[in-house]
Amino acid sequence: MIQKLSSIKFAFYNLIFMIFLLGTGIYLSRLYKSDFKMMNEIHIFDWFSGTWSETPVLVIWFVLLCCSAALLFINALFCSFTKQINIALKSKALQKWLFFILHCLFIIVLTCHGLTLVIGSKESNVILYPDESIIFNNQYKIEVAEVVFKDDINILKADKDEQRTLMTRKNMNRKHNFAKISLFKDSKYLTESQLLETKKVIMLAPLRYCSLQVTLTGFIIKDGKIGVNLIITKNILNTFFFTIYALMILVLGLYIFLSFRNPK
Amino acid sequence: MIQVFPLAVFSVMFILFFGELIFILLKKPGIAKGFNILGIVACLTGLIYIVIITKRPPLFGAFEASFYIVFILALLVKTSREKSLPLVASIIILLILALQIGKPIVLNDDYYMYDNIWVMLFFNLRLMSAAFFAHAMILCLSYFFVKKDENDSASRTARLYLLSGTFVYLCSEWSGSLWCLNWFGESWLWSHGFFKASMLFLLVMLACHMPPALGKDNLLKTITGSLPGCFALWMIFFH
Repeated sequence: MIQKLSSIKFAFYNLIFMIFLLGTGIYLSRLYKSDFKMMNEIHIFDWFSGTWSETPVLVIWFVLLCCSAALLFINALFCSFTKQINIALKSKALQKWLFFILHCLFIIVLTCHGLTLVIGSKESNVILYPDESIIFNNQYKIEVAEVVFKDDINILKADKDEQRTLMTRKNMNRKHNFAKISLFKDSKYLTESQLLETKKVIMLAPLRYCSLQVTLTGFIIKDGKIGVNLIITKNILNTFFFTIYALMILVLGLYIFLSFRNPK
Repeated sequence: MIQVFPLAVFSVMFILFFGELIFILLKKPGIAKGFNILGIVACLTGLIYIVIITKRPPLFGAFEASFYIVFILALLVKTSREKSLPLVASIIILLILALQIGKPIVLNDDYYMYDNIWVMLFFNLRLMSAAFFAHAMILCLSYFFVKKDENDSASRTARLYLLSGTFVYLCSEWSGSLWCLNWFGESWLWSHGFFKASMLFLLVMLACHMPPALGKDNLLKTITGSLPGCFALWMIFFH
């Protein structure tokens, strides 16, 4: 059984199946735009139960994709620890070891991808105006003290498609527009909120505190008042994921370098 | 002048690479080589124009992509240790340039996020990886017509270029993940862009995980080795 699950033949046919599922995903994501949008905004288990009654085909597709990814994980794991490690031990060549490490790192990256689906918490589309706040996870208070938008406010009044054309580097300077956001520790055991971090948050430069992240996704205007659209996330895996991912790329680079020098 | 220049450079580039193909067919390699070098110079001129006007590297859109991919690809073909068939390389370069025909010869909209290093790396390295995948495709197609005993070492080289493309591609994806994290609070999102990106990675994996029995089939080897290049170009020019 292990022999079969670790075989290259199994990997090959599973990859074909996974490619087919991803291709189907391209088509489905155009057909069920709102379901896919929802997939990114709520927890995957909630999405699962909500979508099953409306569009079961998406749930079936999703389950098949997860199964195929799980099989890829098992295949890579068994292949690495039953075959590649033996090859590396026998030959002792750095190239063989790098090949083995590369597969191990890929397994970890794949695991992180899977885990980010189920762990962590997220609050999307949080709209706040100056002096407004929100409680996140019953633990943190996020408060917007000030919103500054120095560019033409007509950009904010335009519809989404028009905004895309108007938002050029000439019309909009990312660094000029910001929201002053404060993060507090908020607990029923604390008589007063404890300030943890304050930052002038601009687009693409979120406020980070340990594994918590407050991201500014855009500015909005309502009744002449400018507010911000935020996404609040808490994910303990982010730093680990990016480090392992970078390490995997470096190992691949080194493996290629050695292989070019010694093609056999 | 500003509007006419890109069209003029593109036309010159197309004519020069077309000239190269004609002289390859006429079996005059010396003249073909000259046309190839002039084509690369024209390509470089176009790239310098893009960088000067936009104050950033080439990132997105058929016009910027065609100049950048052809430039990197032509350099790879020239410097590669394992030589591909000039005819195959020339046809692929012309096909890439032909993908631009019918599309507006204009620079991409200067989106305000293009000043961010991770955004620039994501788009620019994606184009560069497409050039590597296209080079692997040229090698695979070339070896398809080469004698069988030379085929093994040759296909190993094609695999190495495929892996080099993956290295560049993963650097791009890593930057893209960081961009996604800074923009949406998560390192990846369910979207057709994500599916396409994953598909390209899996296509490379497929080419590198051929079962030995199937690996003997030259046609199948050529197809799997060429798929990442075809898919990357489709993703960039028809996204």
